[in-house]
Amino acid sequence: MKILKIFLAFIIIFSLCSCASLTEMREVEDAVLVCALGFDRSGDYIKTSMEIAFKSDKTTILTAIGENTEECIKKIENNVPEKLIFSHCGTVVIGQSLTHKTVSAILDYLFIKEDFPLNCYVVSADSANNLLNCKMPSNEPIGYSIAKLLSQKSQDADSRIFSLFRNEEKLLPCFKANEKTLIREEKKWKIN
Amino acid sequence: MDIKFYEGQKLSKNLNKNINNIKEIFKNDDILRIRELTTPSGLKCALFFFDGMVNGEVLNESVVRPLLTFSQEYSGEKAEFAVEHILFTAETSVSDNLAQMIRNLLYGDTLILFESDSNAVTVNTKGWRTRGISEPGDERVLQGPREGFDESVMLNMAMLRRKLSTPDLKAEFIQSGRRTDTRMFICYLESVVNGKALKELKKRIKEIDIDSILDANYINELINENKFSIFKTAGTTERPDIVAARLLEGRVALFIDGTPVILTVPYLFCENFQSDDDYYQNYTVAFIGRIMRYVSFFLAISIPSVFLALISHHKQLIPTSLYLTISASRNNLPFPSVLECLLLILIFELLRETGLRVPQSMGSALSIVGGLVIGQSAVEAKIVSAPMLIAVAAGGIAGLMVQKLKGAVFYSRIVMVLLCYFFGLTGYFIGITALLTIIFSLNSFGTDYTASLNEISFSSLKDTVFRAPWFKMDTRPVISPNRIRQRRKK
Repeated sequence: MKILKIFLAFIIIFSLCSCASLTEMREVEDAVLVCALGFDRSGDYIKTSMEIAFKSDKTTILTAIGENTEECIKKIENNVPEKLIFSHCGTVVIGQSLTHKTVSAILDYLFIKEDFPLNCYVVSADSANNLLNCKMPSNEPIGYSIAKLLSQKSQDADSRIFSLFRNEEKLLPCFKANEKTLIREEKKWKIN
Repeated sequence: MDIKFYEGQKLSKNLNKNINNIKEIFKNDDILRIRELTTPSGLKCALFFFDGMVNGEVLNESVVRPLLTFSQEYSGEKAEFAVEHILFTAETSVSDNLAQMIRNLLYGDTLILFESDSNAVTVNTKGWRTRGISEPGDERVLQGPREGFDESVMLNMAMLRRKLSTPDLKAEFIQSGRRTDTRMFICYLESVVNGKALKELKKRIKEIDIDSILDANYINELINENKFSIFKTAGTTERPDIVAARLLEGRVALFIDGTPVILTVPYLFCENFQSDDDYYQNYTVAFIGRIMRYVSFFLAISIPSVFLALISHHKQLIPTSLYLTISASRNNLPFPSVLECLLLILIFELLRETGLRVPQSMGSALSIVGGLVIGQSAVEAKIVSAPMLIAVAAGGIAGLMVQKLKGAVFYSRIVMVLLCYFFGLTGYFIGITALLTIIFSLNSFGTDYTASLNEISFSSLKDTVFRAPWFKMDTRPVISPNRIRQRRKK
């Protein structure tokens, strides 16, 4: 009976190790938050810009060029020693230079990416990289500033990723970078 | 030599031989006093007593004076004659059992031996000083009685008798401990007691074979069926009103000489959350206290571990601004989060333990050390982070609400922290499940440890999660299922 109990305890511990993701464990200081993602066209390739918050008031924009979204993100991950946490991403900026097919592929990738938040806002801009490089007076990451702005109005809830996949008509709010401020344009950009 | 060595031995009829025999037994013991005297009527006798243990006035007035002034003729057995016609005391006994005589002598009685008689008279002259009745330090109440037991078992029994003035209260005498021969009383109310627990307790005490019993905890650990459990399965208290209340619910109490702590069995899990104040305050106030204690127990083991699980495994569950704050606070810290958490838990326990034992004059210095040095300086020096300190402190303060479970909370907290660090929230739920399994599988003297929580009904829960008003407490709890349960007319 005692041996059976020890065996059962061993099975439980082994199961725990298997189902709990030990490889996913990271100290807080070993991970950085991705605040925003931006996608532009660079010739036949995609240029991905990523706004990363290393400390609460300091953000950095990293860019990579690749054939698809996954390749760009992997290139950036290889250059950053810390693990990238996508679950706090506030905004995805789609450059208007991208084709609708490329935009669909990007959104599909983000939708199935396991730790990407589905309530992240998707907006458009002439140049996503320029928009992300814009510095807000409050020093808040641009991704969170845009998300905060959009969350104040209920009609902008349709620009979240899960809403885009649900709705037939996909309209993205447009933003423009103007030196040290953001300007929201009246028009909306249709992606389907 | 143990007293048991002298079992079966008897005195001789020669007084001088008996005196030498007793001197030999207590060789090198200079506290023993021997007073030889002869009555005016020629009756030779010798008194034996221990200095400091007898009441001198009782001895002189009730034993020595009557003997020295007795001038009439005596007849028959001298010991019997002395008891009936000479001595002025209420409590005497005559015996020829040497072991019993030594026992009585060691307990503060005076032994009188007579010439040509192998019987000896034992006179109750106990007069050692006791601490007196005072409120127990660990069981203070805002309202209600403030009496507490002391180290004398007879005084304690008297205090209980005052609370339960009924012939239904029984007190069975038992002794244990090879060298201490500790006197104990098993008390219960005959018509309501849990018979199974009573029988089990007597059986386990009889099986004890130990050198000495100096405190209730010696017995507690020896009779405990769950020897490695972190949850205690025998209750302890120093208050007569609590013992009386527990006896009225069908429990058995064990009084031990030399300690004010009384053991009561069976002991249920819900008793860890009961406070003496609950019954002396209005039920609405008691309700809040009870709920807070249950919640505090849960928070004490959960807060540090869940915090650790969130920052290590489940960062997506933390609000973004909070995450950035935590991340900034943990920048350049030397220790991993689990080590930091365990270190802070250890420091908190050290402070708590030191606070209990430090002299009162140093209490304020200790609070300054704890607050400023550890709280502020350690954070500013980047040894620990403020969010982790807050999480551990919150868990520690919650744990202070359930003092009866301090050992269980400490061990549970450590295990939960380790489980959460390695396995995240999965480990947390595994830990909680394991803890509940342990609690529900415990047994206290034949009664389920969670007896009152097994059934979701008002009658079961009325004195567990909340305290029902007295006009609703019609029946006793389920400790004594086959005995008289009605305690109040509806």
